[in-house]
Amino acid sequence: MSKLVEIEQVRFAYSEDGPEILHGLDLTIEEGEYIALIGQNGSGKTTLSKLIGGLNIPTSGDIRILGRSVKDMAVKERASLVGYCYQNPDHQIFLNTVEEEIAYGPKNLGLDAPEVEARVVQALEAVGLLKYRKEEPYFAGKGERQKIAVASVLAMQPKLIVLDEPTTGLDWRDSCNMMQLIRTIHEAGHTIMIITHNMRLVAENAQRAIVMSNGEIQIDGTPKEVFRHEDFLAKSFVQPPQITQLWKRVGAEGEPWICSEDAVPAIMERIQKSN
Amino acid sequence: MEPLVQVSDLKWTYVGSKRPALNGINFSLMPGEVLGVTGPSGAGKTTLAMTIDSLIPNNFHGDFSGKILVNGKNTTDYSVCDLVQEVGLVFQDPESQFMGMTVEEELVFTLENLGLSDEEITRRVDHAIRMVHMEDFLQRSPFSLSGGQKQKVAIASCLALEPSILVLDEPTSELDPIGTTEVFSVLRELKKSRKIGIILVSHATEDLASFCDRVLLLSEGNQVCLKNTQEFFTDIPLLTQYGVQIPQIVEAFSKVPGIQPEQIPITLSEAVRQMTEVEA
Repeated sequence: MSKLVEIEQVRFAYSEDGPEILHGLDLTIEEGEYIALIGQNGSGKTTLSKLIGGLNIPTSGDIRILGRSVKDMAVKERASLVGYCYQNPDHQIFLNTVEEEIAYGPKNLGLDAPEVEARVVQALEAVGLLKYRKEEPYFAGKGERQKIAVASVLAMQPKLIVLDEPTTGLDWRDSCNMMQLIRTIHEAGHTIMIITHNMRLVAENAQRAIVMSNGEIQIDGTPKEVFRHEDFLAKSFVQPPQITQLWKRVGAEGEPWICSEDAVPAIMERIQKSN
Repeated sequence: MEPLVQVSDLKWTYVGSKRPALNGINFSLMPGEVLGVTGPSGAGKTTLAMTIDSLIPNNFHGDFSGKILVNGKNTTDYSVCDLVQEVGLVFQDPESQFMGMTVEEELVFTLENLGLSDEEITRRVDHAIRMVHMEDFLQRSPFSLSGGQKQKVAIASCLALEPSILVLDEPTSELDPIGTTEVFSVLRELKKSRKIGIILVSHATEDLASFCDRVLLLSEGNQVCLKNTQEFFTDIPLLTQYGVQIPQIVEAFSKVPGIQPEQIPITLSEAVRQMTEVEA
């Protein structure tokens, strides 16, 4: 694996006299990772992800993508490396048809018409919306608009895709579809960073979980490593998945349970004991 | 005991829509009861919430049939203003409901419109704000609060009207876990007091499983079923068919071969009890 993003001693405040949101943060993201960024509202997650996405510039410190400082990159170059999906797709969607929306990014990258067309088709196919390319983006529910937003980022074929709460406001079926789509994109070679409050999604999908609070990284590890520290998580106001709470409360031995199947052998054993 | 709400064969079609948003809904809500309402997007959950305080049909155009009795009053015979003291409605986005410069103004506004005396207004504001544990925030702008605090102010402004029914439409779906915990601790206290009936519309099945007495499942405007919470959350084929998220505890226990639905715990505390009792 090679280093995709290197964040070094990054500090950030939204205005000169405003409060500092990030206090000298260090983080390295390897190519091909699937990261979940977690923490309560106001912990600095979205701020950090927007810095990585190039939507804000650090007050001090440096962010390097593939070894080059973002300060030396044009917007166009950075956009081709990191794509950012807003929490609310309606903050992102602004054109009259689905295909125009998807084509906007690739056109701004300066690609020629056949290449733009190829990217539109590929991105819409990936999210399963190709047949709706001529529709108005508000043709369907939020789940579909969320996919349009993802497709418009995919069309720029960035190495890293940051998704801010991609399942908020979606029902369970749409959430599952969205997570399946993200898995497919990850398997296709993109590096993924999702921001979410849903710890079950983190447990079932991410390879690495980063917990933030008060503008600092508190814990960084695999979901199993992170969720086993319930007391420490409580300080960051993060509640591990229900099944991990059960693991803790019954004092089970060994690795923590984070997905439902992890608990099945222990449950079976205890039921057999009682019979 | 008379039900607080009695809904009979309720049908509603928004003007210009081909398909009914609600198509034959029947349920009752008893004092002290918590009814969960769930189902996929487009199921009619929010529409149902808006019928209870007569926002539908009074403030929307469409075809209404069937009957809703709220404390014995037929909602079609009353306006939203008439029912505001019977039914409190809390929305997903509390900001959409705020109009005061301070939390206090927010609470006082509707009470003044009811023509209550200053003394009575003060008593009700004090009581409502204490119920949500926000006494220290009366002079703050409601817009400066955290998501959970905003939602608690929205609940308090309903409680100040002393309704017998509280309808909450996805009150925690936009909140972080702290906000969600804050709101549920208030709702649990309300439930314990057993003075009011609660209708909770939500996708958050782990919260529904631990908080509701019964669950109503809607899909595309139809009433799929109304079951007690234990029965509902252990009916895996039903949950799967209608895209209802299975609580993680239920998912784990249901994977044990040969386990019967009645043996599956639906909440964390039940699961802990079951696992530790077995060992003893």
